[in-house]
Amino acid sequence: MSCGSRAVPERIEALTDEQVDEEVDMEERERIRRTPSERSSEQETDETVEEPTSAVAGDRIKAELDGLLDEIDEVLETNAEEFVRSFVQKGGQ
Amino acid sequence: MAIPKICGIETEYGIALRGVEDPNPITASAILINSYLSELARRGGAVHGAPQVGWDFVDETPDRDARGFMAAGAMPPDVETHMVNAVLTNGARYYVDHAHPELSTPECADARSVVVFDRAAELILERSMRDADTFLPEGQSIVVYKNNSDGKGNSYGCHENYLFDRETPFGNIVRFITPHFVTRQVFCGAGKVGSEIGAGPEAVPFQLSQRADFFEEEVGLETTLKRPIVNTRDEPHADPSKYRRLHVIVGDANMSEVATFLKVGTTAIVSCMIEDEWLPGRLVLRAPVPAIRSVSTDLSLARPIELEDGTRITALELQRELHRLAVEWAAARGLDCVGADVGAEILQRWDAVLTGLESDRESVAGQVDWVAKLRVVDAYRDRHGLGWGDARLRALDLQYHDLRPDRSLARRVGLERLCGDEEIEAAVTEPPHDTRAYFRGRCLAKFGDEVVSANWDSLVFDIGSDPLRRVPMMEPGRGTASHVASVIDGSRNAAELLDRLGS
Repeated sequence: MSCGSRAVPERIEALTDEQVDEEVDMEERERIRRTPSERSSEQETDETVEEPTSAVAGDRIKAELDGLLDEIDEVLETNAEEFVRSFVQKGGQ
Repeated sequence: MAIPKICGIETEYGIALRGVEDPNPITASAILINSYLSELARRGGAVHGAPQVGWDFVDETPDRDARGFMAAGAMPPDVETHMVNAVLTNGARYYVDHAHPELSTPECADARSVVVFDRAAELILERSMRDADTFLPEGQSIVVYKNNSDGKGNSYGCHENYLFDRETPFGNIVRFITPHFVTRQVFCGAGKVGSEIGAGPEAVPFQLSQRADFFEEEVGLETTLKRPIVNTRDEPHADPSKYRRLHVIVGDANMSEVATFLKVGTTAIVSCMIEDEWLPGRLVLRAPVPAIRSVSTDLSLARPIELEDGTRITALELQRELHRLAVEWAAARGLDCVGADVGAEILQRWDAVLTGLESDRESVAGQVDWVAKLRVVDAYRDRHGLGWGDARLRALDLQYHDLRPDRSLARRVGLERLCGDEEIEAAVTEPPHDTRAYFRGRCLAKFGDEVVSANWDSLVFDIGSDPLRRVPMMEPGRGTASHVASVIDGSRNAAELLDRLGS
């Protein structure tokens, strides 16, 4: 095993400030990214009452998905081919 | 009479070490877990001592077969004793298994509790990635995936465990649980782009289950080769004269909380019905192995499978019949053995998900992983005009299971939540109150320095005088908060605790 537990605290100590900043940053990004889907789920509740027909529901789902797909383009691995090729696991149980 | 269905989930996670040529997954898994444990130790406080407590293998007998014999040529699974292996204060076990990080939830009293601790496990893995990143050299990072295959024929499991009455003949369990295992994937399949047993994208563009490709036997002891639909490992981790533990290896790891709830909840109810001899012989399948693949690859949910008497029935119809019988069983026997309120919710959600799948599949995209995933994959395909063989669709599939919050697709598709962030956060460190996991977790939190080793059915204390003192916990339903909280709270050290317990 290459990580002796005794070596760890020193290193983490040294990175404490960066670590905290990074977390705040991650949370912030997470909050911003969540907003569209939260908004769309609120819409869903409002609209289900008014729009019972499946055609309209279909449009709503499409609009929701469009927002999601924009996000996916952002978070999807840039080189999908290489990403998929290199994801190799040892079999488990 | 059915006994309380104490249950839990153990998940092997996929792992990638980025920024390294030819990374070793065993080392990566060890770094991941050690980083988390080191960070816990560094912070001290409520988790004091826990990382030092090792797992005790005295009780492990993975080669014992529930059928009472050892199949010729069968390979019993190895237990690896040399790798990282920790017990956490929430009663869980966190370790390296084969070449994967694995986390076993503590014993839970019901399906809802399993969902909470399964989500807490995700949070522990998420934090482990973060902790490993501070430890790894610049440019390297570890990414964890909660899925069951690498898309290239290598699979790893998400296993469930259910406490069974020893008096129930194992043959009955096999006979009656198999139809449920073959068909429950319609609502608890995690979805997969493509096939890993030679079918091209034209034949199998997408299937319901991550795991169905990998099942080759109806029943057996193995878990890594020739996987059986019903696993026969007879290792109850409890009084073997009273209990069995049904070890389920056929399921997918779910991202949807509702899917996990339904997977565990319906299986707990079907298990109780088997103990109560409630299920009729007519629901037994003629050929389960071809059937599990047929159901997984049929996106129309309309292709029938054959029962032993020649009747043809779809997976949805079979589930509908199981649900109908479950409602009758609950009316006659009550739902106490799966938790009264939780049991009622299982029956209601089981009905709702079947209705959704029967009538308007899109309506269950917030509950069923494969529907949620397929919806996104289809929309992405349309937007970019992609064929089914395109690598981007496989990338989407993988990304669905990524546990990094800023990368996970599952966290973006609007999956319904069953439990709150606060209770998940609490479950990272606090054990369930209603099983023996309470005793294990609280002892580690309070007397961690004096606990030498732990396993599912005992704790070993070193109170400074020879010999070491082993406290057996052969009853999974004892050692709960109502049994032992006051004893633990009132003891200043392990010696006092042992005195009060009278051991």
